[in-house]
Order: sequence, then C-alpha cells, then structure tokens
Amino acid sequence: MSSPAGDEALEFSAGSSRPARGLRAKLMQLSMILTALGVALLVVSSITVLWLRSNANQLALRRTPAAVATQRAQIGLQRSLAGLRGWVALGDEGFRSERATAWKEQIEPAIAAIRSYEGTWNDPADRARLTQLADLLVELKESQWWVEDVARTDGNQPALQIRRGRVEPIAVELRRVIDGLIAETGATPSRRARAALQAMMGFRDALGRAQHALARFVVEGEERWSRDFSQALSEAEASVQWIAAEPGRHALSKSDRVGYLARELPWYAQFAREALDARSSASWNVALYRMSTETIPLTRRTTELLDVLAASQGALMGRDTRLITFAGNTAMVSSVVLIVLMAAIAYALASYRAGQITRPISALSRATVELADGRLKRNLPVTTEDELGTLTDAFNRMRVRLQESEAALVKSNEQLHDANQDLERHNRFVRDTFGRYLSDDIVANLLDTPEGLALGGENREVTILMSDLRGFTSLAARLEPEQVVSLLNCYFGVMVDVITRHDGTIDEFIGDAVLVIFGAPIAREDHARAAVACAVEMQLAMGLVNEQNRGVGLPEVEMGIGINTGQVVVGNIGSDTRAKYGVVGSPVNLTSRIESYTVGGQILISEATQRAAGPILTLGDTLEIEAKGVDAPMTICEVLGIGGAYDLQLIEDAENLVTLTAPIPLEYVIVEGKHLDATLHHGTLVKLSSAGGEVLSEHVVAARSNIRVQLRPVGGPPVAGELYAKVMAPLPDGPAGFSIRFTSIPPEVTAMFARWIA
Amino acid sequence: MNRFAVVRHALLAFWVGVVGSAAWAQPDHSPSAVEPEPAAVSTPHVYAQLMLLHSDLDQIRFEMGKPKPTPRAIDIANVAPREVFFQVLTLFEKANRLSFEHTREIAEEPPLAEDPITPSDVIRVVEAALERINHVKQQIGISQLSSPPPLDTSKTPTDVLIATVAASRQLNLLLAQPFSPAEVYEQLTLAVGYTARLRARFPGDRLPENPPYVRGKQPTDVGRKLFDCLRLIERIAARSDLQMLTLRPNEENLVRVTPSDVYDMATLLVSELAYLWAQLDDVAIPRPAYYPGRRFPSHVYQRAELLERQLSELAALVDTAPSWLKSP
Repeated sequence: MSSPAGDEALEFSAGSSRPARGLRAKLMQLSMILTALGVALLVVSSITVLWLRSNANQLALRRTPAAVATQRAQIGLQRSLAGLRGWVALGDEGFRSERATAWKEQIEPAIAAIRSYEGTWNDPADRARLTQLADLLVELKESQWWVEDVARTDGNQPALQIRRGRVEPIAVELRRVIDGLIAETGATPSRRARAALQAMMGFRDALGRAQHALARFVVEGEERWSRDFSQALSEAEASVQWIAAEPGRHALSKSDRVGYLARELPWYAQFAREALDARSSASWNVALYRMSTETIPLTRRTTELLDVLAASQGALMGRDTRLITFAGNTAMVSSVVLIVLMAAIAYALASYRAGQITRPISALSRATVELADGRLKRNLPVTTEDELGTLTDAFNRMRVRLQESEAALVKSNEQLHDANQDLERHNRFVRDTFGRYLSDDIVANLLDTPEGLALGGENREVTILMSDLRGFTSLAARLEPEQVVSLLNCYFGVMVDVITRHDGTIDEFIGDAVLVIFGAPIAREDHARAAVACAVEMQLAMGLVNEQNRGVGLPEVEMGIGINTGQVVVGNIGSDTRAKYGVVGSPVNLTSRIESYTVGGQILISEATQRAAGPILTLGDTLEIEAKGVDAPMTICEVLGIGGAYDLQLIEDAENLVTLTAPIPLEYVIVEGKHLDATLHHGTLVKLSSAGGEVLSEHVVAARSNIRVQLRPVGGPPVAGELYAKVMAPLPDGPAGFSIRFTSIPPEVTAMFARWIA
Repeated sequence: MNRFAVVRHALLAFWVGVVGSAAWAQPDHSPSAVEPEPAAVSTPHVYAQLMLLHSDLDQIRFEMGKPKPTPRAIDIANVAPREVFFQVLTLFEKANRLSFEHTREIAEEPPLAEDPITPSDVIRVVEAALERINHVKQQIGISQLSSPPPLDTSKTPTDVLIATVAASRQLNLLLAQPFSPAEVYEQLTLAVGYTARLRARFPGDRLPENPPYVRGKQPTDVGRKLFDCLRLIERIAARSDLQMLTLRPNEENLVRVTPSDVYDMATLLVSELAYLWAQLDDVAIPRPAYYPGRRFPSHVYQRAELLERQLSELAALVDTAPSWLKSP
C-alpha cells in the first residue's frame, strides 16, 4: 500500500497534474456505491427490524403489560370489594387494611400502568373507556370509603339506633314504672288489687315480649318477630287500657304513674314502629344498602369496563401478533428480494465501472505488447481524465520518445560500429605497436580489462630479468642515429619475440636495456625457470641479431643478463593520465647490480633465482660480490643452460688468448657508475683475444669492475677510441694483474686487435 | 341528629340561592313589623321574633334552674340570609330536641326556602322553633307569655345571626342530651360529603388519606380546626368570586368552647359548603351522614383534619381554575 506522500511523490516525479477525476476517486466511487447499496440494504433491514422490534416492543412492553395491568386491576377490585365486605360483615380491621392495600398495591398501580400505556389505546372508544374508567374508579373508591365509614357506626342500622335511642329509654322507664306499680299493688291484698296486679303483670310481660321481639326483629329481620311484637304491643296496650280504664281503681299515689303508662306507651309504640319500619326498609343497613346499590354496581361497571379494555387489548395483541408475523414474513421475503436486487445492481454497477476502469488498462496492455514487438505506430486514444488517462498519455509520449530513441539508437549503433572499427584499428595499432614489447597477456589484459589499468599494486614474488648490450653507449656514440635505431630495432625485435614467447612482461626499455618481469601480471609458479630459460634463449638469439647486424654493416653486439627473484610491488604506477604497469622494489635494483656484473653473452643469477629455479639449471662460475645497497656480500652464479622441458644450453665461446709479442702498455681508470675514477692506473696488456685479455698491473682492481682503457703501444701514438672492459678476475699465478673482458671496442681498435692477434 | 336532618341538609342546597335578597339588603324599618304580612317581613321582624324566643327560653331556663350562657363576642361579618337561614334551622333542630325531651313530640322541620331566601323564610323557621319552645313551656307548666319587643330597625342579618347563635347556646344548656362530639362528627362527615362532591369537579381522588387518630384532643382543638376549614372555604369562595361570611376566632371563646358550640360551627361550615355545592349545575347529591355512635373529640378532630386536607386540595385546585363552578 502506498502512502499518500508516496502518491504525491509519484505524481510529482511523473510531472503530471492531478487528474480532474482520478482513478482513486472512481474506485472510491465504485466502492462507495457498493457500500451505499450495502448500507441501503442494511438500512432497509434495520428499518424493518426496528419496525418489527417496535411492534414486538409494543406487544411485549405495552400491550401485554397493559393486559396484565387490566387483569391486575380487576383482581384488585375484587380484593378491595372482598375486604369491604369483610369489614361490613365482621368489622375486622384486617379487612379494612386489605381494602386499602388492594387500592394501593394493585388497583392504583395497575391503573397507572394502564394509563402509562396510553399510546397502546389508539381506538377513540378505548380512550373514552379509559376516561370513563378513571371516573368510575374515583367514584368507586369514594363509594367504598363511604361504605367503610358508615359500616361500623350506630347509624348504619337506623332501626337499631331508634330502638336504642328512643324506644329503649321509654321502655326502661315504662318498666321501672310498672315494676313500682306491681310492687305497690301486690302489697294490697284485695280482689280488685289482684285483678289490677294481674293486668299490670300482663302489661309488664307484654312489654317484655314486645321488647324482645323488637330486638330480635331489629337484629334478625324475621317477620315472625314483627308479628310477635305487634301482638305483644297490642296486649300491652290492652293491659294499659284496662289499668287506666277506671280512674278510681288506683290510689292517688298510683294514678300519675298509670297516667304515665297511658301517655308513654303510644310514644313507645310509635318509635317502635319506626324501628320496625326502618328495619323493614331496603336500607335497614346503610352500608349494605350502599354497597348493593352503589358500590357493587360500580365495581361491576368498572370490571365490565376493564373486561372491555382487556378484550380490546387482547384484540390489539392478536392484531399485533398477526402484524408481527406478517411483518416478519414480509421482511424476510423483502430482505431476500432486496439482497438479490441489490446484488444484481451491485454486479451491474461493478461490472460497468470495472469495464470503464479496465478497458484503458487492457488497451494499454495490448499497446505495450505491440510496442514491445515494435508494431505500435499510432497513439492510444485518451478516453478518461483519470490516472489511466494520464498513463495513456504518458504511454503515448513514451512511445514517441521510444521510437525517437530507437532511431537515435540505430544512429548511435552505427556510430558505435564506426567507433568500434576505429577502436579495433586502434587496438590493432596498439597490439602492433606495443605487442612487440609486451606479452599478449598484458596486452589482452590492457585491452580487455581497462579496469586493470586502475592504479594500485600488490606484493608478489617475481623474477626480474635485465639485459643490457655491452659497450652500447660507446657504440652508439660512434654510429649514426639511424644505425643506432636500426640496431636497436633489430635487437629489440628479436629479444621481444623471445621474451613474449616465454610470457615475460617487458616492463621497460631503458636505452639498450630491457627490464622484464616474470610472474606478473599473470602469476605463475615457474617464473624463475621461465626467466632463466628466456635469458638463455635471448643469449642464443644474439647470434641472429649479430647476423642481421653484420648483414647491414653494423657491428656485432654482446648482451649481458642479470636475473634476480624476490618480493616486489607490481601494479599500474603513475597518474590517472599517464601510468604504466611496472615493478618497484629492491630486487629490481639488485637485478640491475647483478646485470652490471655480466659481460657479453653472460647470464648471472642471484641465489634466490637459483633456489627458485631448482636443480634443472646448469651453472657456471660463482662470484661473491658486494653489491651496492646490499649490506652483506652476496653470491651470484653464471648460468650455462637449463634443462627440463626447456633444455637450452649456451654455446661455449672458447676464448683463445694470444700472448702478445709486444705487450702493450696501457692506462686505465675505474668506472664508478657513470663516472670515471680520477686515479689513472698503469698496466700492460699481455694476452689478447677478440673479447678479452690479461693485464699486468700492480693495482688491485676488484673483479667485475668496469674500467676504461687507453692503449698506449710502445713507439706509437695512443690508440684512439674509448675501450671499455670489465675486470673478470685476478690472474691466478705469476705477476699481479687481472683478466678483462671487453665491453666496448671501437672499430679501429677491433681492427688493431685483429692485427695484433694475427 | 336524626335522618331527617340529613335529608334536610341534602335537599337544602337545591333551594338555597345566591346570596342575599332585596329584603335583607334593605331592611324594613316599619315599627309595626312584629306581625307583618309575609311580603313585608324584614330583618328587624326576624330579630324581634328571635328576641321573643330568647325571652321564652329564659323563662324555661329559670323554671329548669339552668344557667345562662356566658355572653360571648363574635367577630363575624358579611352575613348572608342563607347563613342566617341555616343557623335558624339549627336553632329549630335544638328546639325540636328540647321538645322531644319534654314531650316526646318531634315536629316536622319547616320546608326549605326557595331562592332567593327572604326574611319571611327565616321568620317562618324562627316561628316553628318558637312553637316548639312554647310547647315545652306548656309541658313544664309555664303559662307566662312573653311580650314581643319593639322593632329595632337598625338590626342587620349579622345581628340576627348573633342572636340566633346566642339562642342556640342557651338551648344547648337546656337540653338533657346536649349535642355531643358524635353529632359534630356527623356534621363533619356531611361536610366531607359535600366537599367530595365539590372535589369531583377535578380529577383525582376526592377523599384524601385518613389522618392518624391523635388522642387527647379537646373541643377547643376541634374548634380551631374548624376555623381553619372555614378560612379555606372563604379562600375558595373568594377565588370563585363568591361572598361568604367571615368569622374570626376569638381565643377566649375558643378556650371555653363546648361540643354544642362546635356543632354550631360545624353546621355553619356545612351550610357554606352546601352553598358552594349549590353553585354547581349537575352534581350528585352528597351522601347523607349517619349517627356514628359514641365519638370523642379526638375522633372529631381526626375527621376535621380530613376535611381540612380535602379543602386544602380543593383550594389548591380552585387556585388553578377559578372558574371551576361554571364549567364541569
């Protein structure tokens, strides 16, 4: 996933402006459309679910609780009514609290619950019923209160109240009066008195029975007690009538009391009849009457109303249940339809949009293949303004650039071909020019791996060969420059062939000297043997060189070769603009020293080379020298040939020294490097050959010292020309002197020598 | 109180009209108003009849050896004929009881007056009470006739009411069975019934929770509570744009208050509630009250407190809907 910053960077690197309507926007749009479809589906489903849940909630949280509350209210009503009945009938406080509890814990909470679900009562009739229910309940509660309030009061039973409040006081007084009369009358033992006493006792008995019957009737309400009362009252009234009928029958003391009886009994009868009437009336018990005429009908109406509401709620529940079932089925079907429909829409939209997006990509893909095959010759149409449009536009530009580049490449190839040919020619020139001085390996290495020319170096054990023409400096001084060059070209031409044949690396031509390395740049184990073999073959090739020299009238030359083996630094040495493969180290200098000890046709090697080359060497004399720059004396030896696969042997040049009949005096100075010693020594040349001689001299000269000789024949002028020689060794026996080997003989001297030898 | 009294109170309100009448507002100052034609009856005539009744009662008191009631100043104002009418009915009730105690006779109550109540309606009841008193006088052997006092044209309905209350208090002292806490309780229950009907104008329970029973209450406590109830009724009437009498408690009177005095206050309270109830158009008749049996002042106080709660709720509701009497 690329970061927005990465996208920005890409856009900036592409150098294109942001598309008006990017691919990302299209993809986002497609995704958003699909998401929107999904969301729409989810929304529809959610709405359906919410609707279902709303209905289910209504059913579960409103209708069912409302129905339950309705039932609870009905139960509470019955409970309150039962409590009220219990209180009216038995007067137990428990019933009162039962009624109150029914209202507080059942009816009122249930009604509150019913009203709180008011939203479930959508039917106006139900709403009207709810209002009616509220009114009825208030009415019913008040009605119950009044029944309860009056139930246990004296006034609840008016008959009882009349009996107690009005009838009973009169009855008590009547009884007291009649008892007094009976007591007084009974004390009079007359016949009339006995009759009166009997009447009085009859009155008292009748009054008692009337009281009893009245009391029973008031309490029980049975009709027979009413009849008994009427009969007893009639008897009492008859008795009082009889008693009061004859005023003279009683003594004055009794007459007031009899009159009281006659006066009060009618009041007693009136009030008693009022009690009877009150007991006979329907409202003889106010509480029961109120309950039956008011409370119970109210309860019934309320219950009926609750029944209606419960039935209505039940119908609504049934409707809701059916509705939920129907809605569930509908939701399921509609969900399936919606899913299929939206999937189809999503597929069509995705397909359409994907086609819009991938069509340019496919075109680009085909165009890329055509471009790769080189068949695309026209631009692709840019049909969109998004990244694909930009890409197509860029592709078109790329195609144009590519075709331009292709043309340029063809042209460049042609130029490269030309340059390559030039380079080949140059290489050939290089090979032709330097191949004679360098081995093919180095040349190939230089040409093939230019990086090999990188400056640097490495320590490596190599064998260094240095050859030098003896007396060439003086020779060159005597020859014309063209002759010098011709001689050198001939010499180097032969030597380079030999050297390259032995894979030697010509490090440097130093005048007439050649510095050759074996074992670098291509490492080899037998570098010492190769160097020795090369040196032997170089000495053998000198015959060819001298033959060619002689053919062109040039003097013969001799070559000395010094070989040394040791650790050196090899590599490209110089600057970036000018460098050469070379070798640096003391072994190089020592090689030069060793070479300086050679005489013409001689090969001298160091002990290191001898050890490295092994026993295949054929060695000659061994010399111990004190080379300049070397602390200790060192041993060098002469190589005569090499065996093994090389099998090369130097041709022994037998030196035929001729004893001069007339020794020739001479003067000589020792050559120190390029300088001549200032001391002039004297000697006498006593033996002579074309290459060397023996000199008598008192001065001891170190072997291998170079000297310049001035021949001063007796009786003649000094021999012209500079004659150089190398002191070979002291004379073995006899007078002091040393043998010499000429290193440079002027032509006039050569002719003089020839005469002398002859 | 007998059941007829209950019916009386229930039916009374049908006949009680709006406050006052021209006769009461403009008393007849004719000096010959003692035996006037009904149409010519004025407040002084009523007052004169009440004075006659006072005289008869004093004769009975003397004969029975009963004490005179202690004179009490009553701080009352804005008395309306209907209030006098109800108090006179109470006076008749007491006279009837006295008559019953002495003669066993119970007279029919005078018919209720039609709206508007006039002095002649009042004087009719006063004369009925006077007849009961005379019956008692005869029963106990008093032959002396009382002389009607001269007409005092300055007397107002308030004076009539004060005279009625004084007669009532005298009657209380003459009764063998004076009005007890039970009867006050009964009156208050009737008041609760009226208030329940008034309260029905508003939604909600018409009867509040029964207050707890508190032992040791005295008639004085009940009297104070009834004064509180009267103040609430005044407040309701004032908010309803109705005029009612204003009775201010007299602490000295309250300390010496008797159940009979409390009964008078209770009847006054009922009359005021009945008046309010009569203002309603289509309201059911209040439930009658029944003799409750033996009751102590603490019971009465409990019921008075129930009434006070009821009236407080009603007053609060009326405050929110002052035109409650007009619209159902």
